[in-house]
Amino acid sequence: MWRYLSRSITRTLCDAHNVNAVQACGVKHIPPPPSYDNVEFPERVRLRFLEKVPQYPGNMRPPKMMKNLKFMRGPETLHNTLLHKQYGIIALGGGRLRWGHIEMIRLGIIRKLTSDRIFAIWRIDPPWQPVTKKGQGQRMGGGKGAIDHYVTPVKAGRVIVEVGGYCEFEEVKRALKLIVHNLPFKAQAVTHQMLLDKEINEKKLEKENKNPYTFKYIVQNNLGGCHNWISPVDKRWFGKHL
Amino acid sequence: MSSLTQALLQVRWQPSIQFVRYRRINIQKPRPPHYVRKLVLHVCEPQYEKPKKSIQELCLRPVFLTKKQKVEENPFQTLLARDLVNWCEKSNCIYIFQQNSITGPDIFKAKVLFKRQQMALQKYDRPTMEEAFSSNDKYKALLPLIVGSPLSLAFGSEPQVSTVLKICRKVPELILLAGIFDNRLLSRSEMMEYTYFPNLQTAQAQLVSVLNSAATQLVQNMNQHQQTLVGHLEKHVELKSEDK
Repeated sequence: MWRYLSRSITRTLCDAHNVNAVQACGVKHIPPPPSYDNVEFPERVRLRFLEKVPQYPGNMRPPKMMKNLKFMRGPETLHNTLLHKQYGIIALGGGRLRWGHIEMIRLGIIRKLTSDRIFAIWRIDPPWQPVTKKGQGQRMGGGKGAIDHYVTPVKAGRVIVEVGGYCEFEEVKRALKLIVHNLPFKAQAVTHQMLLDKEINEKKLEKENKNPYTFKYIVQNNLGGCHNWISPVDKRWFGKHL
Repeated sequence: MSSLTQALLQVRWQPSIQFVRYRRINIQKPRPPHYVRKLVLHVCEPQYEKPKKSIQELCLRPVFLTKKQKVEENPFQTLLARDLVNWCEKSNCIYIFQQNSITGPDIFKAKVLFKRQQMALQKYDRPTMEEAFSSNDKYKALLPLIVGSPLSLAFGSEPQVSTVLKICRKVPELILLAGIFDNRLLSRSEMMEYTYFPNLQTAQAQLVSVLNSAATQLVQNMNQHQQTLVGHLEKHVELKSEDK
């Protein structure tokens, strides 16, 4: 019987004058284990190795590209949901992932999570955007610098890596949070349920807001002549993103 | 049309200067907003209604009592509650004890003593008892007893309060609180009185005698002198026969 007794809970009978604390004990509720019937494992269970440098055909000179901040600005509209509807890492801000970060993610997951029960998949491309750098101490001019390294640009809301399998969030949370801490942009370890709740909560907050003035309303109606000083992206994202 | 063109020609085009500066943004380290923008953002901050709670709710009751306790369905607890109700229905007498903290060997000894009297001593936890007693209308009166120390129940078929009290004297951690005899909840003193009750037939006979007592008293008074006279005469006859 002792095995089935839960930890004792104090139940307080509150009076205006005295408070009596009485120890009470109930029967432990051992719920049935969760079922993983809907979990589908991908073909490749472990995160594949992503190359540092993209391979171009032999005769092609690796092209240099512009900075293209637009690849980091604004919200991610396409790759912002979990395909396997379990757990993953979501970028909360925009940024660039270098090969070192990608290796950190890959090794972090491989070393900390067992591949017999847990799988992981990449949701980003290997580094493709070239970042050029001139030599140290070089003066301005003389053309564009040489390609130094390659990066993957990431927008806010993008799923970086997805983790799933026969596991609970508690098991993978620690590994994912360590990775999140080392990423160059703000990120969060999430579950599918957390994303759904976030959406619902955002709508609820929008509805319950008693302030008739929102930045969106002000921009859309050009109140206070704000069109003089707002950015063009403010007309698209209404102050939510830079 | 001509008037329009005339109007347009009359309006002087005034050159206007607008300073526009675009600085390349830094995603990781965003620039702090301009004063005007900061003002506008402050004005646009969302405002929410405070939750409507009366002062009494906020001040008099402790915070954790206002939190709703999650009621999880516990099938094992439901099973135990049903078992308890079955025991209560099956047995004629139920003794309710307050069981203070007792060691395992000691409670085993107490259980043995009860078993010898063909009674079963069982302890149930508060949530199980609450579930069991609130399910049945008959046992709702026991709900106030459940608040407090854990209760033990002894189930028996015959009322034997004196033996139960003897057991309680040997086991000081068990304190007899109340009992249920014939679907009636009795306190400790009422249980003591119950033992001195005669059985039904005797009680009926007593009632009949009480009802007839006036008539019998009258008859006795009427016949008293005759009966004494008859008694004296009989004795006189006996004495005389002995003398002979």
